[in-house]
Amino acid sequence: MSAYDFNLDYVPTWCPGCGNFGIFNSLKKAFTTLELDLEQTVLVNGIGCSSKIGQYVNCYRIETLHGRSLPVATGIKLANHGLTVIAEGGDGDGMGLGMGHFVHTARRNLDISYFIHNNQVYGLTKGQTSPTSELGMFTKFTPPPLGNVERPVNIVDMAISLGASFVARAYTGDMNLLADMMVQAIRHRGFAVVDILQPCVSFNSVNTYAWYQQRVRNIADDHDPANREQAKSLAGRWGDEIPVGVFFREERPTFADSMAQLKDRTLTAKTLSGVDISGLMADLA
Amino acid sequence: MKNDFTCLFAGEAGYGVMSAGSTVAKAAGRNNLWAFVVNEYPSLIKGGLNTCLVRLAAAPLKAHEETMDCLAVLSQEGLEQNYARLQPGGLLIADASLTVDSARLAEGVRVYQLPLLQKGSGDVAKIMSNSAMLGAFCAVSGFPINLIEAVLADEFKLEVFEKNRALLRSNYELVAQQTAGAAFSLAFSQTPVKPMLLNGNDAIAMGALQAGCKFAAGYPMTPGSSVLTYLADNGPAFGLVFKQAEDEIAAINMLIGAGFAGVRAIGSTSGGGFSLMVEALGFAALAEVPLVMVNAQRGGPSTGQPTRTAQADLAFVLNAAQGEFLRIVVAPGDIEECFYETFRAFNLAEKYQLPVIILTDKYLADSSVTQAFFTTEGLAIERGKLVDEAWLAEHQPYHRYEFTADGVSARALPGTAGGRHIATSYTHGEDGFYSSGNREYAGSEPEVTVKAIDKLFDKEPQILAELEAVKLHGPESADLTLVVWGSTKGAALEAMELAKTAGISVNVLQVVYLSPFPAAAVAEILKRSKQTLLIEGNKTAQLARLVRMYTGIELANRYLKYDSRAFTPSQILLKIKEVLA
Repeated sequence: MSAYDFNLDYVPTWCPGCGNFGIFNSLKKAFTTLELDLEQTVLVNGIGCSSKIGQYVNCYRIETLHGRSLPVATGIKLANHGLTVIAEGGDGDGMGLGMGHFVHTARRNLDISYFIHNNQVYGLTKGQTSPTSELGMFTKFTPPPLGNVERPVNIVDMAISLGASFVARAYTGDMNLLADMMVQAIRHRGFAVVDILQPCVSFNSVNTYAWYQQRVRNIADDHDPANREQAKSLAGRWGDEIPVGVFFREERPTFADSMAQLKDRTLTAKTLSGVDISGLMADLA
Repeated sequence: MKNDFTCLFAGEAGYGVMSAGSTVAKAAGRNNLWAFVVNEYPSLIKGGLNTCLVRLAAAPLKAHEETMDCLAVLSQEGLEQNYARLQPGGLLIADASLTVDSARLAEGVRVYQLPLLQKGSGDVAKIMSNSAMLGAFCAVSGFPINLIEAVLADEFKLEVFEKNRALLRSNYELVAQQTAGAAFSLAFSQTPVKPMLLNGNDAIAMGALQAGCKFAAGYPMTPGSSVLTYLADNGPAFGLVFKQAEDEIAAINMLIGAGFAGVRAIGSTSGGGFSLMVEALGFAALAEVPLVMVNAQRGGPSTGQPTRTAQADLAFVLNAAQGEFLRIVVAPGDIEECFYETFRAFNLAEKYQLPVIILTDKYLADSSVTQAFFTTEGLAIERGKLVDEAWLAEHQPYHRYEFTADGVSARALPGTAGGRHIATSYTHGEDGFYSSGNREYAGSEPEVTVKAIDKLFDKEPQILAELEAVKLHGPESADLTLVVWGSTKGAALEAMELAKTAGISVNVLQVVYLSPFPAAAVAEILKRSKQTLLIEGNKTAQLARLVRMYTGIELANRYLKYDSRAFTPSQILLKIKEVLA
């Protein structure tokens, strides 16, 4: 299996130099490493530059509404928990419109991986403030002199607090680490979040490749991802030093594990015909 | 002799008046009487006035009447609001603490004041008031007390049953001493039927299970929630998973995910929740994912009247979401139609790969009716152009959205070898790749766009051809044709019978499917109608607007009711007489 097996004959429309190319290539690398069965894999996207990734990867894909990738992924996973389900979208899609779903999907701990392409700006709508934009950032919607006055969302910190059972951060400038984080997330049984730092070469002149290169640091080997307190403390670091790697990991039952209806087979494998409701009718007599 | 009997049980929320009513209805149904139960309650948990109206008859009932033969009341407010509805010669059972103004009672009303409200702490004591009330009800009305006991015995644990039976009996004896052995005014039929007592939401949930529905998702909203409650309770035994979502937007998107993956799925809500689902409704339509959604209407706009009925969402559900796409909207008129049309909705959603909206209202969703068992023989699952690996192996390259003569393309589910594709919320070509601005479609975007939108509407003729979208009830030809949709059917059909007794010839045109609109069938019937009377539960005559838009026919006589209550047969009869006068 090679990364080329995942390509479709469509040409990505991202800007030259866009971090999405790195994410696209890392995703293919992760798929290759995992030897994923493409027929049994579903990529669920929101809407935005990053969400276009589904148009170029050769597995089953569903391109949902802006902000709604996680509930759609939830429905797919509950319907057929045999599938590998990966949700992908941007920081605007997931932390803006989709924030409510992020909170509850984390609580639920379904076996879904969620890759957030975090470029700290809205790209496809041509440069507005995102929920992860830095304080003071100038965008089309927060022009000078004031700039953005709302504190940015810390995705990693929040994911750990909400109950995601695997939480990592990666950077498109280090594709090996990124692919490795994706592999670990997909292997993890439970809701696995990877916050992917990604420059936007067209609309974010602050968080550039150079900016990240100066700050991104691999999490030290002595960090224990099973230690929630340590993970939270590490997650709080953002500034001159931005940690990347696995912050947190715990094994706990997934939502589907608690459903007796899903024990023997998937919902999609159940027979539709031959239902006998005579007992239900008798109950109402 | 009257051939029906109505009793209203009234009291503060928390005192079990609704269970009193359903106990009588259930006891009647088990003994070959037919019941129609209407609950009215404000949107609160404790206090306020709850009423439960039980109408009984020796023949099947389709609606309620506002007047009553018996009023059993636990609160002063319940009495104040209902003096005028109690018929001459009727029975009033009131708690001893109430002040009864006999001047406000109709002629010949017999009054029984008794200690009905149970003292003691906690909700259990309060709820036991209903047993005291039922004991008195049996004594004054002659309704056989042993039938009530049999129902209570089934519903309560032994210890609780014994307490309730003691109260039931003691109040019964107390009243029986004051009144000469009354005989119940209706004959209990000897023809046994297998009756259920259920409401429209129960029937919808049962229809979904019968259709092989295995997934439901939703967020609580009265009066739509009880479909989900039923499925949460009874679904697991049928392999169904119910997921309560964080909001209605999540709910509908979960259903779309499940539908895309290949599971039959249902949601249920009311107007406010449906409003939140609107964007995703268009997504389901454009991505061609099967979806079944119930909107049980309540008073609106906005939070409106959570526990009251209305038929004011028709124009909304027909037009909800941006852009143009085909949807199916079905409005069941009674319990049977709730069951069979829900079953059909799942077939339609898969055959035509589109959203189906089941439009009901609080009156239909929440009123319990005695109903013979459903016949399930011959109900066949149809999944349309769902394809497997063998078919896909023969048909490569596979295009999920292939342009076809009937607008329906072969549907492969994730996990099926050879069927990989992208399902999308973007306007797209046959391969699912979107048509806007990408070099793949750069040269042909206008052509692809037209085909993509036409595709959604190409399904329409086939759908209309297979549906019984309108029903004409009563004589082929009549002096007056009532035009109705949804739950108004019941009251209209009873009004038709009342009119017949009064020597007036009436028939009823029921529009069952509002989208795609059965213009030809509606026009054909209306063109041969001598006179028409439109009956709708809204202010702006939404069906009349549709009829005019699609047929050019103006329905000038209108009986529009938007006072938060359902139509009754007697009210409609008055209108009929007015129109024909």
